[in-house]
Amino acid sequence: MPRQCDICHDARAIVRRPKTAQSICKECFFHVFETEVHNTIVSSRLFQRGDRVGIGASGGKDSTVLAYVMKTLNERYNYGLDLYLLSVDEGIAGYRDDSLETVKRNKEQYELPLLIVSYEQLYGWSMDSIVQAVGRKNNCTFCGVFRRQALDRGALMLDLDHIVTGHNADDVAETILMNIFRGDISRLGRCTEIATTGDGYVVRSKPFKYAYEKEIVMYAYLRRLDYFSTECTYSPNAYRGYAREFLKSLERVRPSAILDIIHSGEAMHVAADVQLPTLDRCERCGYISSNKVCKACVLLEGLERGIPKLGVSRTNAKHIEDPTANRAVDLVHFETLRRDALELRRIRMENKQTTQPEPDASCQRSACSCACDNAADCS
Amino acid sequence: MESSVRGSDSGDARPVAHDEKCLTITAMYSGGMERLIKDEKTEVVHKIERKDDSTPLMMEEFIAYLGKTDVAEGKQDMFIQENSVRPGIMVIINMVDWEVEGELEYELKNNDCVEFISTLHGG
Repeated sequence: MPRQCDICHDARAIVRRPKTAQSICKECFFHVFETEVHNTIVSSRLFQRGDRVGIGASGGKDSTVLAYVMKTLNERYNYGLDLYLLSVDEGIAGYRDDSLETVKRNKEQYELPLLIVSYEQLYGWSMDSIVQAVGRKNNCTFCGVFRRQALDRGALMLDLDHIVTGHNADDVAETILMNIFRGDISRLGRCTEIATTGDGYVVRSKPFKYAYEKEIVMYAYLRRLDYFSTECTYSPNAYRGYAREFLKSLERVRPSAILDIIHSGEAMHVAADVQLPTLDRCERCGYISSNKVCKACVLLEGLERGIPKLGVSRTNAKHIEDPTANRAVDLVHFETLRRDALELRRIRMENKQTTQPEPDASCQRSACSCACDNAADCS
Repeated sequence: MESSVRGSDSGDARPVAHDEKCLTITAMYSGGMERLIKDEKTEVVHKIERKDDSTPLMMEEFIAYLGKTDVAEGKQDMFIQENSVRPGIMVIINMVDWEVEGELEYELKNNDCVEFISTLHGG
């Protein structure tokens, strides 16, 4: 005898929620999942009307579901956001090129503009060429450092106010555990925040902070969303892998473990007398950094000078010499990116003022949103 | 366990009229799971003969069986842990979360479709 939904007591239950142990039907599942994300967005005041929001899109399950849900909620609750897909092409043949095909399909399916920034274009080095130079041991360090900055660069190119990423509750709990295990106090303090201001220009947030991975995969499965799932060709991040396995085993015995760990992480406070690194700007590229030269610039210098260990191991980090010696690509300074973003903003404002007609009585503003860039199309 | 279960995969094309002693069950693999499967197959149809019709085929036994028939050599540990699937693998029986269906205690029926979806692969 099929089990009935614990919420509507009508339809057949098809999924058990790890958070509540309720067995619920498909429609109720869609409803509670979307509503919880909406509640997270509202209660954390993530957005303001008119915000330009980039969805960090990898083509994987989390970001594909995020793009779908953001688009749905923006329309349903009339957030008034301009949504974009923002992808990073690390340059990993057979992995990222395939997943970017998924993002390109998502662009059509969700009718969202897409910007892809590549490591090759930004730094002059693709991950494939980095791995050739450094081997497979520390390549994840390069990839992680470069990706974070690449997203910020892409955001400025689009003059975004905000980037949302698909990090889910499992990811956050995992990161809390990793930071505890590594004794990384300053990251432990930051990793539980739902939104961070980063370099002060673009806000970053995780609307799925309280959404379980299981529910995200189930959502993608039931909505038949088109996502890509292959492991990166290069060695996976082993440390994170152990934390993940540990967390999944805990979840099996006690599904609330994930939210419990997040709760504990949020409750921890760094004592006032702990000296945390102060954030400044990188003297080379202008990116936010706790050192004079940011990690990305040190890593790049190591690559250019053929000493890739630079920046990976601490002892070598001191030997920073001539900054801009034969660089493959002139890294665009963040001040330039910011200036260009402000210029874009100024032009948009001007266009809005000159081209936006008096509100037409027949114009359904909430539906067609006259404030869009192609206001002329609005009749 | 092996004595009670014998199976052949989709390569066996003979149409088998359903008799109580033989169960046809489809196993599907996605979300990255397929990389653990021989030839990275995403779908394998199993015809499982039962010794007699009074012995039910439970999920626990079926998972152990798949570990031997479908999973590629040396990757069993990434599929099975203790007597169940490895944590992080979602199991869906006929489009329903197996946690609603009793997990290891679910009794398989003829023409069931069991999907294994990894949640461990990159987002």
